[in-house]
Amino acid sequence: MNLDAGLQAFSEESRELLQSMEDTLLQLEAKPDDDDLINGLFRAVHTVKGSAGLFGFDRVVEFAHLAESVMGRVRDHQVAVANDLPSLLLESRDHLGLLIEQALDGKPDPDEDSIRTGKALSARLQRHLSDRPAGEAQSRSIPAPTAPVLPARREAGVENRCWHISLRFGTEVLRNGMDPLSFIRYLNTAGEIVNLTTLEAMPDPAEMDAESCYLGFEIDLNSAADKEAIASVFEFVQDDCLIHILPPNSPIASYGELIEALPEENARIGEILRAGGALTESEFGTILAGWEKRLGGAGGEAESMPEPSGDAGIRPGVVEPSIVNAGADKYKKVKEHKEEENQVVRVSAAKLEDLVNLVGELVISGANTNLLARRSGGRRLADATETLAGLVENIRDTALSLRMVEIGTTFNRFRRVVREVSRELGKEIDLVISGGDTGLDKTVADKIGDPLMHLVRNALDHGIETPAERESAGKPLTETLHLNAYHDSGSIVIEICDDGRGLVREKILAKALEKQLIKENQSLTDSEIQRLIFEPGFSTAEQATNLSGRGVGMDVVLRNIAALRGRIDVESTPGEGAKISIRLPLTLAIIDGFLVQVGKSSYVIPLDLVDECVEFSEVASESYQDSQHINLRGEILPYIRLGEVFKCHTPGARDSQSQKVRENIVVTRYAGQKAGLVVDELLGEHQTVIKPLGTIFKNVKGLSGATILGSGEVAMIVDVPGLVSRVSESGCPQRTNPVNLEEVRH
Amino acid sequence: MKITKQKGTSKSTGLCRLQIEGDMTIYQAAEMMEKFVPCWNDYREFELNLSGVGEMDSAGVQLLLMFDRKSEGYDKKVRLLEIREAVSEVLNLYRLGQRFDIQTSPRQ
Amino acid sequence: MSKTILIVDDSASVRTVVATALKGAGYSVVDACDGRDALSKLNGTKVHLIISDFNMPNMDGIAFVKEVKKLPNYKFTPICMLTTESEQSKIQEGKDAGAKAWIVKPFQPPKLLAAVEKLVLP
Repeated sequence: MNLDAGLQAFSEESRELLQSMEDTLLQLEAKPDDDDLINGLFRAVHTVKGSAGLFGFDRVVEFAHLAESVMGRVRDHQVAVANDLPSLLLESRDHLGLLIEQALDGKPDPDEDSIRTGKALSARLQRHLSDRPAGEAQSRSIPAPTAPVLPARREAGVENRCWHISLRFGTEVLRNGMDPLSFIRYLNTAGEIVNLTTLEAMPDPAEMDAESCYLGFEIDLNSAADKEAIASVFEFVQDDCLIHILPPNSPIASYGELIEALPEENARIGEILRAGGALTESEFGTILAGWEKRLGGAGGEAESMPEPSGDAGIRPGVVEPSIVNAGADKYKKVKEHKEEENQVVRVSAAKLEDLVNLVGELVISGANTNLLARRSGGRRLADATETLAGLVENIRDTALSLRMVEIGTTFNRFRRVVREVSRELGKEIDLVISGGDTGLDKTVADKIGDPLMHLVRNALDHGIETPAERESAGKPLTETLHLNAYHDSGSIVIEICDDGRGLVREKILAKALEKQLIKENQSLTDSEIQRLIFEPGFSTAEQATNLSGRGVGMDVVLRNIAALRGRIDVESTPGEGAKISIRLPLTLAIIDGFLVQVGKSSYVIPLDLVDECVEFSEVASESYQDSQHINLRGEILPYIRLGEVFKCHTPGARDSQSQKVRENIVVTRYAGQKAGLVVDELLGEHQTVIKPLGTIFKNVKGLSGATILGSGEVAMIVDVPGLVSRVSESGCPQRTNPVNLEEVRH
Repeated sequence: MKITKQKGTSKSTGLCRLQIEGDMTIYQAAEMMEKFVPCWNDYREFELNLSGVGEMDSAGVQLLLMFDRKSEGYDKKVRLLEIREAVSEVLNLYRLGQRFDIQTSPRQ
Repeated sequence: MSKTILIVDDSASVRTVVATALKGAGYSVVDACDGRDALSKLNGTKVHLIISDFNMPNMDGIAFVKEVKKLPNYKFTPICMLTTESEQSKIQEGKDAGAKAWIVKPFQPPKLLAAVEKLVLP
């Protein structure tokens, strides 16, 4: 169990950074001279090192430091990206990932394997540093992972032998019942508070809110406790408190970073640290000189450091020398600029989930308000609710877009897979990614990774020929695997194309026979054969390779994708390659629906699938009536009666003579296929929040979800893709498992 | 909670002497603030008698800090009188004992 | 003057263990068996900390915290929730309601007292 939100953040952050390192390294192989890539790599490992240090993950810090040093030399063009360096860095990245995992798991001792790997990698990395000046190499040399070395020996540390703790309490702390006093008193149990400076950031008395907290502290603690123990003192306020903890004898650079990270002016904090004894005058001078150097300013300015004043320096204005302020301010500007470039707020997925759910409720009650307003007949009310509805729609779109992520992140995961497979199988494979910036809901993106991985591996394993085979077929020796994504009518389409052998009809048939999925001499169309690969228990690989894995077949992929309300299509030309397209909804939460009535029940048809609506009698010419087809301006379309599919008793459909209801037909289009749905009444557009169907509806075909209307009534969401594929296959719908909805709905 | 102006308070000298009774915690902070702000505006030097203050928390400390402002063009001075142990303990934890002019020993 | 802590839990044994540990450390203890009972105890007595369980009959921990946050004389009182390993998600729920601290059960008195010391004023 670990309650530390910081660790959680570290875990996520490091995962992202490791991923970006991997992506960058793979790109670097193709573009070894790209400075941006190299800089990105350096930054990533640097950040990992920095945050691992915050948590006292020494083994991670040690190793990351070594990798960083090598990357630093690459960045400074002292070492070229050549030979085994990319591979070495990739392996190092993996090892770093392992170390982080172990640190997060709280494993006190690494296992033999990881120690051996670590030593071997360290030695190889060291070789790239070997022509350093002797002294430097010595001080930066990596010790065996089992014997972590004090930071002081690793890098020039400050003289301060105390832990330095910077706290800035959030305004809500007092109102939440938390009092900094209690925490500081408790800190005394973890060690001796050698120095404590109370900082106040209170506004003018007239503007001050007496219940808000404006306090901050700089503390030096003499303690033998570890970082975790010290951080745990502030566990209850860590959500609304800025906390920085520096170990004893931290590198000067960490103090520099601390000063930059704190909200107060750099010069003021520097003065406080100096006055409190956390930094000596010359140490602060070093930091200041570092800023000056980075600013490109005259290095000499740093020498005009102010004399340490006797005052504790807790109020602004105490630090007089303008030259220092000028330096600090100049630096601040650089810093602000840097921050502008990267203004990203981390929000937990659960919070976004809550927001989207709330917006869902807002949409429902907004729809209800709209309905009531229209019914009341008051024009001004109707106008007002109309405006409101527009805003609600904007909020909905914005809320959903917050969860939109680019599919490219998912795609990039496959670079590594493809690289490894091509090495392993001795096949030359070129991975082409396009449409990486196509957005989709994070919940969908999270769930599509595994099925996609399976499909990619499948394509590599089964689809791709050996170079020899390719040569004899007259194809270029290098295979191309193409991952593509684009938006199409409210869906995202993901394509996996390869130019391999395609689906081999004979192989599939033979396998299906063996598995008794088909009978001997059964004649099958191409599309039926292609569908066989999605049958449970079907696998054509002669032996389960470690690529496509064991036990998990394409049927699982199909099921996973169906669970996301998506579908898979396979196109294959023997000898030329195969294309697998996955069509998924952009979001799982809300759709624009078209509300229709059949009998007494309301149904929602996803609006983006609706092509047009026409009166049934206009298009249902006599000759087509029996064959369940209509003639729409010369186009012959299959249609089905929703009332029949769902067995709702339509009062006036065909048999009742007293009041013949004018039926309407909603023409839907999905994946290039059109079909008509016959309904009694068209009720208009309706925003729909999808509620998943309970298990009772598990076997009902043709429904994809339910929603609650503004009136509190339940409406079922029609699974258009399911219905359309059924009518277009058979010409008329099969009535599989019809359920009387009136009964189900209490 | 009771705040009373004591003898010796004078606009001409700029001195304001206040007797504070009751707790100085977040529960009283907003109300105290309301009473303190006019005084703070009108006077320059404050003598706060805290002999009647039982509990003090960070909200109370902030009120004291509010009085004592020398920056941003203000020159306000505060003296604390007769602080009790609970209050001095709090001020010591925050190492604010030197910050304020504290007079006479605490009354137990 | 000793500080007063209100302990709210439907389990008498938990109340006893907690009360004993707290009294041993010099605190005064008021106890209640559920949220509703606890609200009736918040009737003018000064309380410096509330320790409450999540799952309780009559009024559960979250509802109780929300009620406390409405009481002018108690809304700023620190509240520490007692949770179990399996209720990790509850911690956030408690935080959202206004209870920013938590102790995971089972706990030993030192762990309890450590949390209490971080929450009760000197």
